[in-house]
Amino acid sequence: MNINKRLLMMMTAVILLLTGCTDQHIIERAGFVRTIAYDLSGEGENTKLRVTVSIPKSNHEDAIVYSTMAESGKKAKMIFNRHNNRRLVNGQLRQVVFGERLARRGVWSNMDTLTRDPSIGSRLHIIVSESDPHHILIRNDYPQGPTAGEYIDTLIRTEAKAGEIPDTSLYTFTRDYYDDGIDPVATILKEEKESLSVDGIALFKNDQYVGKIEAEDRMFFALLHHGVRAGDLNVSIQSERDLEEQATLEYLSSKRKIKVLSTRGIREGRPIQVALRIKLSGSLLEYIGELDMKKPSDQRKLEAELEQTINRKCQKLIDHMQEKKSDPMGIGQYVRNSIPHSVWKQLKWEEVFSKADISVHVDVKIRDYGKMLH
Amino acid sequence: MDVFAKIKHFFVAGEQEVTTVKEPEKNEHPSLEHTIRQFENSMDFIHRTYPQSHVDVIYLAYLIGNDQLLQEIIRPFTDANEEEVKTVLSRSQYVVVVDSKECINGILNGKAAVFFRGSTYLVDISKPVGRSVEQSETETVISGPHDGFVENIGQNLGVLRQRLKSAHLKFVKLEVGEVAKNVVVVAYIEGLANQEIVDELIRRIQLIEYDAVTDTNMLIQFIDENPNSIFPQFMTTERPDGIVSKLIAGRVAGFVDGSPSGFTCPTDFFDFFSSPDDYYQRWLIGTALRVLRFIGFLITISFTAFYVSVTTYHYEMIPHTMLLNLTESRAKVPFPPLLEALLMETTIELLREAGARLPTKVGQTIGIVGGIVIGQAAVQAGFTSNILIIAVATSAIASFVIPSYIMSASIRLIRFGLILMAGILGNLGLLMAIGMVVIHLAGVTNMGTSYLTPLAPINFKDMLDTYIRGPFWALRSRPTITRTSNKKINKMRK
Repeated sequence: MNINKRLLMMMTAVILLLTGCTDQHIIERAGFVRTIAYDLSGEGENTKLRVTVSIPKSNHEDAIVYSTMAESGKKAKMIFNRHNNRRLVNGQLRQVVFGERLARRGVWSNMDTLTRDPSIGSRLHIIVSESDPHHILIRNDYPQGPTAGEYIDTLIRTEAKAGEIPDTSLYTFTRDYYDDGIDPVATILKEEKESLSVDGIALFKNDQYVGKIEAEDRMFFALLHHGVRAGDLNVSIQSERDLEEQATLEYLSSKRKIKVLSTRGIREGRPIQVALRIKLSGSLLEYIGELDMKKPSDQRKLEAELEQTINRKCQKLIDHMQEKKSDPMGIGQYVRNSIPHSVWKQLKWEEVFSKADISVHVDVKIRDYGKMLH
Repeated sequence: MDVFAKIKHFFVAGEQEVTTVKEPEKNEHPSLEHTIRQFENSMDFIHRTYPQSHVDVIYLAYLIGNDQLLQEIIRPFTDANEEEVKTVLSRSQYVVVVDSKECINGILNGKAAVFFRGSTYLVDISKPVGRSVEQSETETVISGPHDGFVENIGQNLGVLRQRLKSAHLKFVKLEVGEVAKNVVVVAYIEGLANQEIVDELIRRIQLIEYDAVTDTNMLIQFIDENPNSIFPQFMTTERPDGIVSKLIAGRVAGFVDGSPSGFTCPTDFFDFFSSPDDYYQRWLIGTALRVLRFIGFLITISFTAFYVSVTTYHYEMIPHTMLLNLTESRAKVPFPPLLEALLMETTIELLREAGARLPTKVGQTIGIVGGIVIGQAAVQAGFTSNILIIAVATSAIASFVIPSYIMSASIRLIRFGLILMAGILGNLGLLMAIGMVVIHLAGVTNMGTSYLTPLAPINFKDMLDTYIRGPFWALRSRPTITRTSNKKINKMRK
């Protein structure tokens, strides 16, 4: 009885005291920013940010787009609020698009605001745009989707679901940014005449965009970066039968293993040895070539050829990443785990990585070769 | 209040009652004049005289059956001389009474009082008042027995005996109500039920001070431990098979004459979510049904409240595509979500209450009209958003999933509190309100057992027949809540 009374009094007090400081966002009185784009407005050291936001209208077809120059994202939001009849809120933010120029200079100052805001979900997609991000948002004539925001959202989602591009959300980006021995990546979008396209993967060093994986190489990058669940991989094989053959593996799934072979002499600057083992299997649904897939021996032969080609491709990508000193595969984490922490702390990982001896071993298995028609 | 003081108060009050109403003292010999005086001015009071044999018969017209009257009174006494009357009265159904109070009670119970040469006899010529056994309308099952209890307690106890052919099944008769003198019967299986619970229940029923207790659901409010709680603390049911299964589990049951439902105790909160139907289905299906009811419970108490909190505070939680639809629909509504939800909930409660009060045929019309008005017109008129209609309708439907009507009514009322808290503090308020409900539930007791058994105190064995309906091979022991000494099923140790 006594406790009940005390509880009742406490509840009443809480209700009375807290009603003053509510943060109501009744949905029809709020404008939900779906996409936000940052770019630099000009050249030079002190140039302002150009911030663009896209707010979808409730008819699903149009979006209100505001754009302004401002020193920071939040300042821009205040400017937009002066225009908009509904209070702008960030809770439904789905993508942030960075212009290429800003990305090369560093995105962290803007990213920091996004991670601080508790209403922003961590599944926000991080995108680097090669075209003007402002123009991407202001267009609303995409045949694929009514508004740019929705189009980008579904595009990235379907691509990432199959594992063809890494799922570059705010969570993974900040995790990789803060983590030792791995660098974040982001999806690159490019504006085409009729559409937007995933134009590759942006390699970051710290928060700076330093290099790019081309779109046609993204599957090979996916094999190196993470496991693929159900992707499609097209390989052109340079076979000894002097013709270039085409093979496509569909419903491809892969697993990646990293093993640090040797860290001896790491302090003296000797290159470390790392082995990357990729196991992949898929259905061979396209093969334009001379081997007879009904023969198991020919299947083995094709598998070996595929292994070689994929190996070569991956090696090339690794060379590219080493050259850019960006380690999105997280090899550094494995190295860090295999050496004492004091050694790791003294290490300049990007230098070690760029000189590291990374070997790739690919193990291809053709799961099946499609329907048998004859 | 001190129990003894209460008992004393009861007796004192009883004595006062005796002196104010001019009733005869105990053990006074019944007399014709006195009996007539007691019943005069009542049109159903019949006084027949047979002058040639000096027999006077007194009975109440609407309590007796014509056949019985013909057989026990009219045939033997018409044109009979005194000698013949003497032989008739020596038959065993004519019982001599020496107490005038007993005589009057007998007449009130449908007996006829025969006055002959200064002695009084009672003969039972009563006709059962009430309907025949029918299906319970509040608790229907699809498979399983379809009979329900009726208003006549004798019939109900008979049904119980037929189903539970055990000499250990005991009935204890009690009387409740100063004026109406309602008969209450406590039933239990000796050796299975905990005697302490039986004694305590009888003691509590005897302590009731009220003019008339006309229904079981009324009686249980006099004997529960938390009279101000919103939750019913005794399980009531109109189904004999439900009572039988509770008795066999070691619980104690009770009936009120004139009420078509019986109650059982000790009861826990989760009892209200089980239906006899669960046991007639395969155990997996029975389990699925129970889980469905618990989901229904959660939906009932929180769906509308969740709508209010999400649309008022937590727009982040809504999927983006739905958000746009919701915004469009909400944009026409001039009220804040809290007011909107309270309006709709009140409307649906009005509809439900109107449906319950009206005759069945009109009730259906109300349902259709209400459905159209609420479903279509309210949205088009910009009165509410369509998602709220879904929320309100779903939570109303979900509330009817709960087999006990009394419990479902309680839960529907709680919902309003939750909506209010959700409107004030959002999800925080919603959780606080649910927390308060849980705290309250944990504090409620019934016949000394916690209302949240077997969740608190935890008992995994009992959970097999609480949250799920375990297969019969697994249900090897009677629930601990009954505190029975015969824990093992299928074994009765005496």
